[in-house]
Amino acid sequence: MGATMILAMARNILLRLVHDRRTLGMIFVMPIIFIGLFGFAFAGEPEDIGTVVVNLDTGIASIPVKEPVGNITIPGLNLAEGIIDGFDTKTLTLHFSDDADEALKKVENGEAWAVVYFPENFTSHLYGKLLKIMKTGTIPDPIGGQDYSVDLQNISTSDATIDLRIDGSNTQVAAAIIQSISETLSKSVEESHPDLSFSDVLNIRYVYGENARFIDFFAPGIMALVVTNITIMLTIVSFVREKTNGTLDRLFVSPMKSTDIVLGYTVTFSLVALFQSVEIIAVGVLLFDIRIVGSIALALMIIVLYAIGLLGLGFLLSTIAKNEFQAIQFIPLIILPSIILAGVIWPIESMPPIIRPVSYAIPLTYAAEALRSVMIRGWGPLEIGVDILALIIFAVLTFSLSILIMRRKAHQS
Amino acid sequence: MADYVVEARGLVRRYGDLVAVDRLDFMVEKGEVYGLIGPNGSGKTTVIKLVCGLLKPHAGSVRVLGMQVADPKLSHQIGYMPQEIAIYPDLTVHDNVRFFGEVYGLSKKEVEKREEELLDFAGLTEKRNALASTLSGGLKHRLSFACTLVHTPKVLFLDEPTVGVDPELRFSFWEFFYDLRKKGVTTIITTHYMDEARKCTRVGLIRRGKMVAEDHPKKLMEKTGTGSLEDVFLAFSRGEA
Repeated sequence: MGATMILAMARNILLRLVHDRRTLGMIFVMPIIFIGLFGFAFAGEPEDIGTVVVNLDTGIASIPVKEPVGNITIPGLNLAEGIIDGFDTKTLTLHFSDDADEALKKVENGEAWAVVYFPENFTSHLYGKLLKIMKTGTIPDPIGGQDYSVDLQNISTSDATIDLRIDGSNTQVAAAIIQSISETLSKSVEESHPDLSFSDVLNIRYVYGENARFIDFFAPGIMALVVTNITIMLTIVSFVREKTNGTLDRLFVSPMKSTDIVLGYTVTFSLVALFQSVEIIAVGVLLFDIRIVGSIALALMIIVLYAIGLLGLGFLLSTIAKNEFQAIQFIPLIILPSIILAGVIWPIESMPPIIRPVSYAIPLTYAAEALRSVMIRGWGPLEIGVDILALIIFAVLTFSLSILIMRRKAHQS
Repeated sequence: MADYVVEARGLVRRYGDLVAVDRLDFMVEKGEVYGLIGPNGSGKTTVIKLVCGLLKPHAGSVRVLGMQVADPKLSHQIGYMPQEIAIYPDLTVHDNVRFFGEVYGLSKKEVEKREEELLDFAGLTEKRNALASTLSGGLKHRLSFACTLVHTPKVLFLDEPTVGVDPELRFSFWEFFYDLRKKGVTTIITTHYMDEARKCTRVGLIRRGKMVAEDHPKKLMEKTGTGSLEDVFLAFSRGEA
């Protein structure tokens, strides 16, 4: 051992790096990609969560009084409006509707994450509830006459709650909605009426994913992520090896067609993806008690469809790479953005709007979304049509491109 | 006019600005062991790839057994052995042979029969169930050759088949090439071993992508008044011949 030896070795490695332009590029670009992606993905809380507000509240309180027997009307209270005005519109993107059923359908078919429903007598019943809690005996005449004695016995409070119907399939999005609405209610209800807790006013019901835990949300994404990782890696490494050890040239000269080669790979690696998915589901269910509401067969079909697209992508990258070393460098370039931006760990809603189009350009986004919809929401093939279409386009595109390129390679023109 | 097995006319292939094969003609008759001889980088491998259809010529034409190289029927008749030991190291000897048999559409029985013959020839019968990666370098070469022959091709394209092979194995390879010749198999082989080149029925000397001379090795030596093919090559390189 000596300084000269060490320096000679160090210089040798440095020179080798300098000569390998692609590796050199990766050395410079990778840190920027890492910090950039993580920075964006961790940048914030979920935002722009589509929420439908159904406000049927008349805004008028009608309170039963003892003398003269009947109801007196107090206009201009508009409690629902007051609460809605306080909603954090950064977190929630509010859409308004007068039709409660239609609003609920939007959540059921995934167009919105939640419905906030204020019933017709909300102001009236909430005001009444307050009077009851505070045991208020009299209320002033709204037009300035004598005070009225309140008939506390006959006050109705059944409409004094806000109905929050929520899609809990994404635990983080659901938590953000509940937190945002609770904060508003704390401010507008609890601050002005300390005797009333916001939980008395808010009735939360889940459209999907009741009691869903983070792992339930996480498992479908992880399933897709594992398949992404292994399929891309296996395809790239085995195909580049096929290229470098000369067997691919042998096949190109043989009667075997490019399509046969690609399909052969597809059969095996789709089975591998299928096996891995079954493994994840089994471990998830047995060890972590993950919930699967929908069809496991459909979930597995989604995985296979996604794996076919990944194979195509793997083939495409293999044709660019000259050797296994170069090929391996592509893997983090595919995997990393997928992990961070495809909504597997952090919801897409928590990413800055400028980065979201990138998320929707990543196939894993659709695979994870489709799997979550099937496993947590219990959706069928029709409801996940858009995701399936995106995965089909991905598969057809990468697959046909890779066959095309391979045909060209087989008879290099 | 002779019935040529390989007919290459005016072949040109460029890589960027580099002209790897430059207006090259050569014809090979049935049963010949034709050697493409030249130093490293002379264009031998490119020529082999052009004639077996792995590369498309930028100009010129190739016909093998009277067919265009792109003709799917031709692929059943030719065997190609690349410079690399093109076998699957993670498969056993048996699985390698069987796979290439299946690639050429052989039936299970045919594959079994050929496997027995080829493993016997290659001295691999005992290693039938060994992983290819565990074989010695020489045995890997033999397996690679066995895989090339599994479908009993009529024309063989062998790219430097004896590089890195010990003299004993090289000798047995050449014996086998001659056995095949007796069976009417035509072999086109690239090599830069001049002692091997002498064993060819005819050689084509390639330099910078051009065919500088072509004849029987002995005749070339006579023409140039030299005692070895190396000297023949040098004579042509210096423009003395």
